[in-house]
Amino acid sequence: MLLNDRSHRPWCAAFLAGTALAIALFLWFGRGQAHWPDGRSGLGLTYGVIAAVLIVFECLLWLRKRKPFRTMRLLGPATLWMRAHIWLGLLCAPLVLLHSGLRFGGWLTMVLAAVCALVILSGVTGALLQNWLPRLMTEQVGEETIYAQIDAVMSSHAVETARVIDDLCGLPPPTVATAVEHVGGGRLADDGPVYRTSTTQRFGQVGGTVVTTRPAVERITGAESLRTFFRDFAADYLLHGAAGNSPLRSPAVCDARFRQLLAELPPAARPVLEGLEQHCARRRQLDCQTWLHFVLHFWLWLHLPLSAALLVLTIVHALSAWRY
Amino acid sequence: MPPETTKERAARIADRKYFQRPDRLTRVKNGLSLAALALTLPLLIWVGVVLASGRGACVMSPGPVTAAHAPWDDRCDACHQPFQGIHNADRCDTCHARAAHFAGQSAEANRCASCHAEHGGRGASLVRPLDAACTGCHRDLPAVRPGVDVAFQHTVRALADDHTLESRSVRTFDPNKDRALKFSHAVHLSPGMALDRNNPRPFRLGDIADKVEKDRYGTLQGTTDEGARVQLDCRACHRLDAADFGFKDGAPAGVPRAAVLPQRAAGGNPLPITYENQCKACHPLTFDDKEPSLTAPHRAQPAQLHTFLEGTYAARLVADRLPLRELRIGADWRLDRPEEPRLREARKALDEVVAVAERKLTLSGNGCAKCHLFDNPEAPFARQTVRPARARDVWYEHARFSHVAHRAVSCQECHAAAAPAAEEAPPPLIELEAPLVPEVAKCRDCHGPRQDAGGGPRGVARADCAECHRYHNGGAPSQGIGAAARDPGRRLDRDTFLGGGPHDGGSGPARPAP
Repeated sequence: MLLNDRSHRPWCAAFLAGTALAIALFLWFGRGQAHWPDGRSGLGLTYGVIAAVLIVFECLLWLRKRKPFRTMRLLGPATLWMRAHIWLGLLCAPLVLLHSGLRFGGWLTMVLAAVCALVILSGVTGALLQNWLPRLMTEQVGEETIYAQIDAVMSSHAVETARVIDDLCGLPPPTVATAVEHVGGGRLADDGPVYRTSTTQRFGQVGGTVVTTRPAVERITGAESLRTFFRDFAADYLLHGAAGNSPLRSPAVCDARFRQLLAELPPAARPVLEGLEQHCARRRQLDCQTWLHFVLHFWLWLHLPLSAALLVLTIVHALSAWRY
Repeated sequence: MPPETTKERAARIADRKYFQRPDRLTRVKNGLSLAALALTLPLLIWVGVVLASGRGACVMSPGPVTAAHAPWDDRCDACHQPFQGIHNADRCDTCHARAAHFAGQSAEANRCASCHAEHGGRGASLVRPLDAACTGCHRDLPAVRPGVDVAFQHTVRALADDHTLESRSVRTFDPNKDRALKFSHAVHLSPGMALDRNNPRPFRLGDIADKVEKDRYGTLQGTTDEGARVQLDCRACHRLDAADFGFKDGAPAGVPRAAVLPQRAAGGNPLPITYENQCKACHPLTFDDKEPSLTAPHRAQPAQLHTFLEGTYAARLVADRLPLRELRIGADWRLDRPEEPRLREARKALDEVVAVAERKLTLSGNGCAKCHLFDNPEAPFARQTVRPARARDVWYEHARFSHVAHRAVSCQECHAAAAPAAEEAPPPLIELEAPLVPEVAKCRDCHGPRQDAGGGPRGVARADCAECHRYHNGGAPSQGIGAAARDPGRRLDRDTFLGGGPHDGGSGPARPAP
């Protein structure tokens, strides 16, 4: 959800107006007083109640994303909820600050304020990241695929490459395919003499991964080093990427190894080697996608747990304030 | 090759429900959320236990208490007893009595916590409630307390808004009726106290007979020239600290120092004016031109003065002229035997000199009538009565003003009427002055919201009700903060005091009426 989208303007204006109104009332009621109005004053209490209601509303987004509310049209579009979540959440910051009377309270209220600040900060961080990183991902990761399917996609590529290499080099035990299975790849599918492969292609403004097929290759003498290279280094890298132990994680090492192998292999085996190099490059991009995906979502590790804590602490604060 | 069926095509994806399972990021996120709930939910349960039992609730303190109550910061039961909200049950009575705001105010309506908000931090002030605590009633007092006729303003919301301009004391003060002392600030602040600038006989330093006083006033105006006109300023008479008067013994003769000139005075109000300190140097109560060293005592009614004068002159007659040793004492042991001609002469001479002295005291510039008013001026001197000099000790009965806090501002800023209007014009002789207490408009010059009027920015000094007004002892406005009405029910020993007071169900026996 882009913050510079037009649909955010009324929300932004409402947030600014609400903040200005809250500050103006705060200054008006606090003028000439020995201390600013805090939660014990009528105005401060009003701010506190509004902030508490907003916090509860913010937490309702979690429910909105879950069954059966996820598909309820009655609740309005999810984008509307997200806009409200962002801007009303931001409005909590001045309200909580003014509710405190610009002073620290006891440990409970301090923890509550700190948690609230962290929730808002992490939320703002997330909103900014989600405005910036997807664009970066589009630019940097041409081979982007579904995050959860990265390993499956690369496993498929590894298996198919293993079969091509097996065909290219014959089938001396142990086969490359077995090696792939050994390092954690998927099982081989019996596709006959035709192999699937995929490439990234772009037609005008439209780009994406295209699955193609190609015939099986014939056996070529002198390509054993390719099988050894694949078994020892490439298979692990294709399957595990940056999380594995393959030296191909380093682009420089990877490039040097492929150059060296290119010089050793007979010319007929070079297309297979180039295909393998493309798969390694694809793996590198998907590693980048994995990292960006992590950055894009890791703030939720802070935002969501702290929001849960904030909700509970708000209830505790409300109960104790009401009681004492 | 036969065409591939949909099922076969779908079979290429080994795990078709991958999107229904959380990935690693989601699993961590959910785990952390559950952990956060696991950490905080016990807090909620604990709050429930605390609400039910009241135990362990000190950790729920909304903030540190003020410095005055810091010894009991971790002793909730010192103030909260039983452990409830302070509005329901407080133990302030252990150390403070709830001096009522008005006569007949119920204790329920006089809850300390209604105005004194604790847990505001060590540096917070307990005596600075929000205006709403006052204006809750005073914005429309007749509606809040119907049937009660109060003498002060009924509706007020803020100093800068609709606060009355004059204090009630000033508004109701009639100088002609209520003044008991004749005094012109304008005359006393003019050079030589001359009503006319061409007055050939202005009062000069050399006219002050007492050398100590002469030096004192000479030092004040920075000259030793006896021919210089005496020029007083405000500090010549009005001081906030006794030591500033410069007496070696702390006070002039005849003044009870501890009562009139206390050491280390708070400085809120100028120290009291006493004849001996501020008037005597220029206005000695001399009554005999031939013997200017003879002075009458101050604070004596005419009857007492008559006795004093008779005694003074009788002693002189006895010592100088009357041959008392030659008197024969009669059988009835009387000395003033009417048949004694010399005594009759002496009596006559005595009456004459006393009458002259009384006339001098009554009519002259240095006599009683110079400053004092008499209730029955037509009666013989000995039967006259001097009015009490102090009609008003406190001008702001329900407010306070600290001269110390305003010491940086010139006296004339607020008391402009005290000084002569212009140097060229003779000062007006208004001996029964109107109060020199300024109107609230003068306060608003500094106290209130910022305003950029002509002459530069003004305002922004505090303007809350508690800045000026007092709440407690409202029914007895002359009582100060040390009044017994504010004393606790009983005094505590140190350990009990630091322990938060007795926890025997009460704060002590009933306090005797002050």
